Amino acid sequence: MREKLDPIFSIIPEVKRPEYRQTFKEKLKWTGIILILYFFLGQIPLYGLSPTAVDQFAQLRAVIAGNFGSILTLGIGPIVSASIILQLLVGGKLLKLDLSRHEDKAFFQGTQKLLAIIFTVFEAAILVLTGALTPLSSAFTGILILQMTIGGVLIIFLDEVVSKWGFGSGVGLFIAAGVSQQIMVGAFNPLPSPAQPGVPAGRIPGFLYLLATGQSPDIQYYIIPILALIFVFLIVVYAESMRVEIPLTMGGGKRWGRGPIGKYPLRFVYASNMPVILTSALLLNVQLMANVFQKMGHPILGEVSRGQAISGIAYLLTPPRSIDILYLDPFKVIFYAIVFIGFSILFAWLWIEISGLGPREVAKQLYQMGLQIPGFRSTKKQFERILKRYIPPLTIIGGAFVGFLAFIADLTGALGGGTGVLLTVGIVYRLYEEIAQEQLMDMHPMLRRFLGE
Amino acid sequence: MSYKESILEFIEKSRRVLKVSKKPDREEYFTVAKVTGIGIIIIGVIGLIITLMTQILGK
Repeated sequence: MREKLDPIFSIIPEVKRPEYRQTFKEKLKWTGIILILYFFLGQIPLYGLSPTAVDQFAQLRAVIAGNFGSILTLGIGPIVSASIILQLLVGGKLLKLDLSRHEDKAFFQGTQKLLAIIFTVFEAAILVLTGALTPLSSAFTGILILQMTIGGVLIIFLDEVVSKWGFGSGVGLFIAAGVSQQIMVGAFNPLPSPAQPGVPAGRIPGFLYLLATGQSPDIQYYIIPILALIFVFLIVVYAESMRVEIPLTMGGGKRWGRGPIGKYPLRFVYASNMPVILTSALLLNVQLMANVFQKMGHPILGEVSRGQAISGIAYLLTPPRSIDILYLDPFKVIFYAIVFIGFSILFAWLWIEISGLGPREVAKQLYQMGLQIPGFRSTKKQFERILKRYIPPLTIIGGAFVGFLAFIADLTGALGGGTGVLLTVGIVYRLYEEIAQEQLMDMHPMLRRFLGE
Repeated sequence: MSYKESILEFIEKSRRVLKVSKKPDREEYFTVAKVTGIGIIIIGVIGLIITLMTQILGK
């Protein structure tokens, strides 16, 4: 099968890797360029879209990024969907790949890209053909699909540029960009709101304007989302900074008892926010398929009306986004919570397997760095044994925890979406760590050698 | 090892991990809050400017 796919991979254009080590400034430059490009692309409206179209994925928007009604309507949905399929295949051993080997990794990445392109066309076609995205008239059907496909393919390449030339990953950057933009525009937009002409659309200028003109602003709309945003932010920052520390000393000495010179920190949220991204993308596909089955006349996943799932499993799996639903439909909330947290655990575990964060890989890294755990013989096996005590439970507890947090955060109705804020804090924090480390390495070439680059 | 035993062992491991996990001290917490807060504001302001620009020019 691999022989058959290789010629296809060679047709798909690839972003070249930089040939020399990028300096800190160059990486920052590329990240900035892509960020600005991304924002501009999100402002290009789809030509031929009916103005009455509603965003069926409004609740999942934070995670799939993109911008409804623009050529980036699909956002990173296709990339993440492709990644889910591959993770299940590799994690379930249906596809036997050893990702520490170069060829296998190249094959993995090639397949992921091909799948992402297929998903782009597929999702665009489904959205338009099932009527989830209504064209102005049937003459615009093909044009709408084409525009979304172009936008989707552009996102795939922008993501690749960031991964190879910039900081972090494109997927992360786009999620953070969308949520941060939503927060700042939602809070500070000074332009008049379309719903209430004359009143600024942003919550803060709108609130002040209404006060200044002697009207009483609606607290539920203007103030609660901002307070909820701050609340969710403060909680997530706490969770992000929790660590499990394993004490280490430098190797080479004959005696123990030099005292630990460092600690190897494992994040409490070990699989980071990946489980939440993957679970949300899975839910997105449930919604998509509900549209397809409904169109075929067998709504086995539930019925969709005006871009909202109203019955069946598709309805139960729409993220609950306000506190009211707790007493309006408690069964739905409980069902959603169990499914969401369950899948978060599953994806945490799969993610660790695939991204080389498992006990064996981490043990290998620590061993190669010449570190030791005081009181133990410094062998690879020994490292692995100790890490095995920590990493598997941490993966599962961390996955459940981050899923639970996303679920609760959504209920608060925070500006930018609870899940959105959760993801963005994690992404921006990791981006900061990478930038800080890069800057340090630029200043100290010795450190670079020590860390084995 | 039976199914039940391995689950019990896992719970025991989890309890140990929770016990050794370190909560951030004040300084750490504020650094993370500051860094992520500033990051969100920088990215968001770029987004806000581009949104406003296209909305004003689009008219």
